[in-house]
Amino acid sequence: MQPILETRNLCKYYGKDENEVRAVDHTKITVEKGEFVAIVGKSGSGKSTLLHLLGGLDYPTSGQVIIGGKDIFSLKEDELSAFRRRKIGFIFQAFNLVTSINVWENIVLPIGLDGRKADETYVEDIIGTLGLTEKIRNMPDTLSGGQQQRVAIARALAAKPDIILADEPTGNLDSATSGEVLNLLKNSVKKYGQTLVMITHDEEIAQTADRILLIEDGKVVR
Amino acid sequence: MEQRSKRIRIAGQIIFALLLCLLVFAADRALIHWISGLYQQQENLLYATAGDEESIEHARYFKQQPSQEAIEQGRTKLAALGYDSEISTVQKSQQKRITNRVYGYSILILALFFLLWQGISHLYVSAYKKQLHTISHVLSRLQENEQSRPADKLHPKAALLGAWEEEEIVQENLDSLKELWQLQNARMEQEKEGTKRLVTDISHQMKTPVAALQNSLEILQEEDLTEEEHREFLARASAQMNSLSSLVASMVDISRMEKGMIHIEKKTADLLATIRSAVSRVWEKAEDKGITIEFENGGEISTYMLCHDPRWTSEALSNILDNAVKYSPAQSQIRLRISFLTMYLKIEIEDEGIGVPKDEYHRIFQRFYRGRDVQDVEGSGVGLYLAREILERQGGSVMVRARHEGGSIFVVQLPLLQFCKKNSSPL
Repeated sequence: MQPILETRNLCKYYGKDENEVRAVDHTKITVEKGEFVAIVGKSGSGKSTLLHLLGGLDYPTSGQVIIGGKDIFSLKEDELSAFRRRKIGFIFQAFNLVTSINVWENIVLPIGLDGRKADETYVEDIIGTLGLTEKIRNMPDTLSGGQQQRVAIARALAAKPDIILADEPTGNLDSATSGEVLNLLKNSVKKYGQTLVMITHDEEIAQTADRILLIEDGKVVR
Repeated sequence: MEQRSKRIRIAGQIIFALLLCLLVFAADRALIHWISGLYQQQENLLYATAGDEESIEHARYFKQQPSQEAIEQGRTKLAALGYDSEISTVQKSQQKRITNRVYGYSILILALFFLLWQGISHLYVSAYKKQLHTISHVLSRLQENEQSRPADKLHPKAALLGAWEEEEIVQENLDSLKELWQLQNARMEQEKEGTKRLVTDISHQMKTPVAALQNSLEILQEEDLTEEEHREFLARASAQMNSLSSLVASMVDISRMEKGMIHIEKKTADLLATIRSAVSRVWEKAEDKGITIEFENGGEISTYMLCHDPRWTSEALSNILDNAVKYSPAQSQIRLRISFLTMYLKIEIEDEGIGVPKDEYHRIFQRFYRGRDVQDVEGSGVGLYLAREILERQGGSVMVRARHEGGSIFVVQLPLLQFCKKNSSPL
């Protein structure tokens, strides 16, 4: 079966000659549908750059990122934007919720932006799974960090993307909440048949993944 | 596409309306023309009678209706002369012609309308039929397990039907059905492969312990052993048999777990009882090494109802405890701690053992894993794998953390649901 995510010779270089920084260096990774893959690397290893490339948030120097069989950088800018909205779910360290709208609205925002109607039953099920049912009318600033991240997870799941990319999802959370959020993240991703690629600096956080890739100086070594 | 189809539909409706108006207008024109003709006849009659000097004053009847008297007078006079039957015949035939024409035009319009209606509904029906045809085609190909082709898109003519959103949904459903189908097939393949690997792995794992046991027994069969040697090898054989049988038990558990034969059944039960039963399973081994197992919340709570599978959770916890006992030095302590998070109940199992290197955190939970720093005769590398499977199937998890002063803390999480709901959506 075709993998849901594939990179071919992906490179991202900055600068020239002696000053050239190879943030991502000839990276080739494949992720199968339904897998939970963790990419572990120290800061400066290129993992954030890699994630940005995988999510089409940045253009590579060379190489391809193929999601669901589509070479995403062959798309025009507005097509890529639409593709991101529909096919990729993002979870960031800094939650990134819109503070002027409530929890429910935050969760269905990407769907609405796409001009689609939310499948309410599905979204309600996700909200129940993540324990947010009582909070759907709340504004983000009334929620704890863990709750906000749960909203971000619900948002990523609700749009039924091909793949979810998470950048240090527990980075802003204390260790007890981190454990909870990781448990929820893994379980809900598996429950809804999603694929998850998570980057982190900590092998301890990565341990529940199906597969761990190690990245060092822009190269995937394990 | 949606815009175009909307435009086509609106254009079609406008054309239809225009055609209808045209038809009716034409019919009206014809009728009006004809009735004007009749009025013209009346006019002509008047002119004719005016030609006669005597009757010129009858011209005033053009403006106002003649009185009933005058009409009767005239009628009687004409009847006396024999004209009445002719007049009524002409009148009747005129009426007939009017009636025929009016009905004729009406029937014509209705017939044309009917034809047009037929034409349009035929278009709709054929578009609909094409749609169903495509769908049934895709479904039958799925049944025959054929690869789907990109041309399995709903017919664009169907846009005429105007149910664009519904069609998109059907298209999406068809696509995801195809995907699901392919996924299922791929999964079946993987399952087969997985089973092959499991069988290979198990037979591999069994080789060493079986060989060791065979060895001991062979030695025991030799005639020239001292009584001490005899006892020693008997003890060895016995120990090896024990570890072999627990290995087999674990293997059976894994196989059953992987093949879906193990059914995790959550019940509302006392978690503390589950923990106690887990501890009791490893108590003897712990005692042998002088290791104490302490429950830190023992003073606060003695029971706690939680929705979980008591039998399998106990197995998972005892596997983790067993691991802790195995890798802890003698006379050390193993601590158990319960705490409550927002969505989970946390059980921490802390040992003072050799700890796990960070880059192995991930590996220790894998099937048949053996630590690189560990010479492990007894371990089957299976306990932690099973524990994780059991816990994750309940929506929980197990993770390991380093203990500050050396050793490990295994953090078990279980969904914080005290009483099982009947039809809850399980994780």
